[in-house]
Amino acid sequence: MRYLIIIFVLFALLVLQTGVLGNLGLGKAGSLPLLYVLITVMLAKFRQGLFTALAAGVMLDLASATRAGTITVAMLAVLGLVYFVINKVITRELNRFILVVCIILGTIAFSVSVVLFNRVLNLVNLGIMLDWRFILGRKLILDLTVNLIFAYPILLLYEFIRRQKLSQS
Amino acid sequence: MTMRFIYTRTFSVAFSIFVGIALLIIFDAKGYLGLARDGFGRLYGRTSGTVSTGVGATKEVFQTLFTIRKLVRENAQLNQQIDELSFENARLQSSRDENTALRKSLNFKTNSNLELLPLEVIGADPSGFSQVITVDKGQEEGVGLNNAVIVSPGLLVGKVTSLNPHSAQVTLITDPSLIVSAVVADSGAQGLIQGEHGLGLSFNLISQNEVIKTSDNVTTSGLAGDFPPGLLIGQIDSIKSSGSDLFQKAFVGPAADLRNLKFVFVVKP
Repeated sequence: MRYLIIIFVLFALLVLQTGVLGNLGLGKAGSLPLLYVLITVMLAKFRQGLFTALAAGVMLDLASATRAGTITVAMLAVLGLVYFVINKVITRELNRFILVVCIILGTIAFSVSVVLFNRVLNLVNLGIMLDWRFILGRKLILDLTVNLIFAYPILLLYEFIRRQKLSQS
Repeated sequence: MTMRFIYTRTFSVAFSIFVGIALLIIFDAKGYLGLARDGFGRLYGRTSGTVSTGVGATKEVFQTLFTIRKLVRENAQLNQQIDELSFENARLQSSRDENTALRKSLNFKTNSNLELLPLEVIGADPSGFSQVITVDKGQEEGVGLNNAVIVSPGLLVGKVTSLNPHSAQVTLITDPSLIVSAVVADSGAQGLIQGEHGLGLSFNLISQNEVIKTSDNVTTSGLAGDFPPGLLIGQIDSIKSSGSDLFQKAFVGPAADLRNLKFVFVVKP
């Protein structure tokens, strides 16, 4: 049941990003599913973070024009990096500053992973043409801005869902 | 002892994920994920389309309240433009008739109407890494790879770059991976149009001795065989050229409204 809720939340965030934010001109910047993955990795157990990353990656792979698997690998890279930073580098209770740092690191890691993995796929003629200068330049700055703006609402959403699950169990 | 790690749960999970992703990539490359992309694309596209319609309607209500005065002023300007365009249209119709007659008399193939297949846009790439839309017809309905995609009345939108059985992905002209051979309608100056990540189009490799000016219409030349000739791409917004450059460069605003595409047409060869 928990995993179904995660899939539903990710799908709703994807629809929100294109249906609402897209209409307001913000659809192509930032990624609400990525934010949810980052917050889950930071606050939940590893298994839940892993499932969330895989589900978000597969969903975005099916909806986007990149080769299937590219975004899934990028999400797993983000999962690994943020989990390592939280548990091995910082090793203290999360506060707002750590949240911001992890979101920045996660967003950068996501873009870099997509570009790198697409390059690897291009070696075997399976990738698509991606302008890495645009993705790691202007798009990354926009993604960071939008992700930082929506970090707190997504955090509240995660807490709301977690409390609902706890009150039901 | 060093091999004992392969019996651990962590290794099993990691190996399963690795195999799963490899299969995902292989199946997508082979086209086996077409039905999955169809199904998910439709579900996601319809849902976000419904939400988008609702948001659009709410936006319109607020916009209408604030722009009533602006509409009155624009209405007066548009009425004047209609009069001017009607006169121009009559003049062009006469030129077209003359052109058809001349072509017939010289035994040229007459301009035939394009064979079009209507499509509905059901989604767009949410990742932002490319300018791609998903349409509701695919290989089974007669859509072909690399077919040109237009909106009425002949404005170029993009090209079909990926096919599934019942859906297709169209790369827009604002994506930098798409290069279109183009010509300026008035002067005949030729060059290449390339997208600027959804922010417009750059018109490159225009010879220095060609005369181009802002507001010139840019159409497809058809020389590369990629798009039928005569499809309107946009108008020149600005020109970047200096005497020391080998070529001129211009910036073109797309004629089609690529942010609000609902219905498009595939040009069948």
